[in-house]
This record gives sequence, C-alpha cells and structure tokens, in this order.
Amino acid sequence: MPVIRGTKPTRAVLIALKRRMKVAKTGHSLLKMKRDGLMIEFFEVLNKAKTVRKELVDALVKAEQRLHMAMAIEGTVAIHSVAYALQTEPSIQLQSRNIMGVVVPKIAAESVQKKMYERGYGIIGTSAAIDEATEAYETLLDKIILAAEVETALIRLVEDIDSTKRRVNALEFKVIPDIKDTIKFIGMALEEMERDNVVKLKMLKGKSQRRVAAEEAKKLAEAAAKASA
Amino acid sequence: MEIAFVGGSESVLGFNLAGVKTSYAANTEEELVSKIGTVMSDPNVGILVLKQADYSRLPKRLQEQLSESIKPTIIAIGTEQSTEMREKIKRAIGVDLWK
Repeated sequence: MPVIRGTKPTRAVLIALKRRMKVAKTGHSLLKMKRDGLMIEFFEVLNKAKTVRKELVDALVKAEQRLHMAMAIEGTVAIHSVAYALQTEPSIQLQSRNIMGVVVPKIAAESVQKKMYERGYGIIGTSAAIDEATEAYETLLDKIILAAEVETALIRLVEDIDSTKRRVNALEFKVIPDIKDTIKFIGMALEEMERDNVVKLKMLKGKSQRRVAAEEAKKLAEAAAKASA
Repeated sequence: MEIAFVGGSESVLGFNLAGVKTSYAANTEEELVSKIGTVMSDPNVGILVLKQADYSRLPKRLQEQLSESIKPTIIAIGTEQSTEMREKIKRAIGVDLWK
C-alpha cells in the first residue's frame, strides 16, 4: 500500500486528498479523450503522409535524372545561365494550425509550376532537356511544400501522443492509486483514534464510578460506626 | 516567404532552375552546419529543404533542433527512408505503422 509520504492522518488532509482525487479523475478522463482524439487525427495524417512521401521520392528521382540529362547535353554553364535568368521565385505563406493543443504548420502556396514562357528565359536559346529539368524540379518543389506540411504535422502529433499517453498512464497507475491508498490509510487511522478515545473514556468513567462507590461505602461505614457508638 | 535549400552543388543547380534563389552549396559537414545556421536565422525562409543523406550527417543536437522547428519547417528529401519518423511512431503508438 504505497501511501504518499509525509501525510498526516487528519481530517483536513483527508478532505484535501478527496478534492485532489476528484481533480485527478477529471484530468484522467479528459487526457484520455485528448489521446483518442489525437489518434484519430494521426491516422488521417499518416495516410496522407505515406502517399505524399512516395510521390516526393518519385519526383526527386525523376528530377535528378532530368537534371543529369540536361547537364550532359547542355553542360553546367548553360544551365547556370538559365538559372540566373529566372525571375519568379516560389513564395509560400506559413501559418500555424492548432489540433487539440498541438501546433502544426499550415503552408499555403501557389503552384510553383509555370508555363514555359513565364519562366523568364528565352525559349529559342535553350534546349528541351533544360525545359524538362526545370519542369521536373518545379513538380518536386510542389511535392516538397506538401510534404513539409504533412510530415511536420505527423511528427508533432506523434510526439504529443507520446507525452499524453505517459500522462494518462501516470495518472491511472500511479497518482490515482496512491491517493486512494492514502485516503484509506487516513480513514483507518482516524477510526483507530476514535476507538482509542472510546476505550479511554470508558476507562475514565469506570475509574470515577469506582471512586464514587468507594467514597459512598466509606461514608456508610462511618455512619454505621457513629450509630453503634 | 521563401523556400531555401542547402546541399550539394548539383542539387543546388536543380533548385535554382525551379526558382529557388536561396539555395546554398555545401559539401563538408562544417559548411552544412554554418549554412543551415544562416538559413535558420533568416526570418524570410519558410521551408528549409535538405538531402536525407546530409541530414543524417549532421550532429544529433542540430538534428533535434531542426526537427522541432516550425518556422522554418525542415524537410529532408531522399530515396532512402528516414528511420527517425518510423521510430517515433513505433515508440508512441507501439506498432510500426509506417510501411
């Protein structure tokens, strides 16, 4: 019976403990609900993350292939010059979203994909290999933006599920049983003290009764002695 | 906000083609760490893209710092699977769901 150390068996402590028990039980059920809610959210994000990661890897492989091809055909210098000519930069808006107390990023972005003539370099001066490489990297960037949001959300959720689970278990298997045992211990100690008191009172009463009886007997004996004299 | 990339010079070229101007070439580990530091302190960067192989090379402490950051959000890309996420899921849920 693990009783919380240093508790005094008094009525005031008992009342305080009962109050704590109530709080702990409410907290436990709330945290349990939070854990379940997070789990549901987690499974949704997990499915999304799996597909996004797969798409990301595919896009990466394709992009690197195209880039190597362009480098082989045009040479690094030509690609560098095309890269310098680009004018539009992809822009994103980073916001945060709150899922049951877990802050996850929410990324809003316009599509990075651009039409060939919007890119800013001359179409005639460059080859199709460079165009393909550019397009492949733009697709990759789109996927990266998507994956960044989903995967960060997933990691955050997992971390929070972990800590919530710990808290639920600590309350369920440590805090609440300890308080229960301590309440029981104080209850028994108080009962024991009460019995002690009853016995004490009975003993005192018996003592005083015996004294009164002895005094009366003495008085009677004295009266009897006077009468005979 | 912008997207930033730190990694090998070849990939930097690729990201340049997609319009990512804030991409830094870094080959050694020291270069990686210092360039990541520059990107992290840039308030204009929303997403930092790293190669998975480079990310695994970083010191553990920096990895942890990166994985906790929301602004900017870090993402490691690569064909090999990241074990970090898998292990985290395994520890939290108790089952290996990432398959």
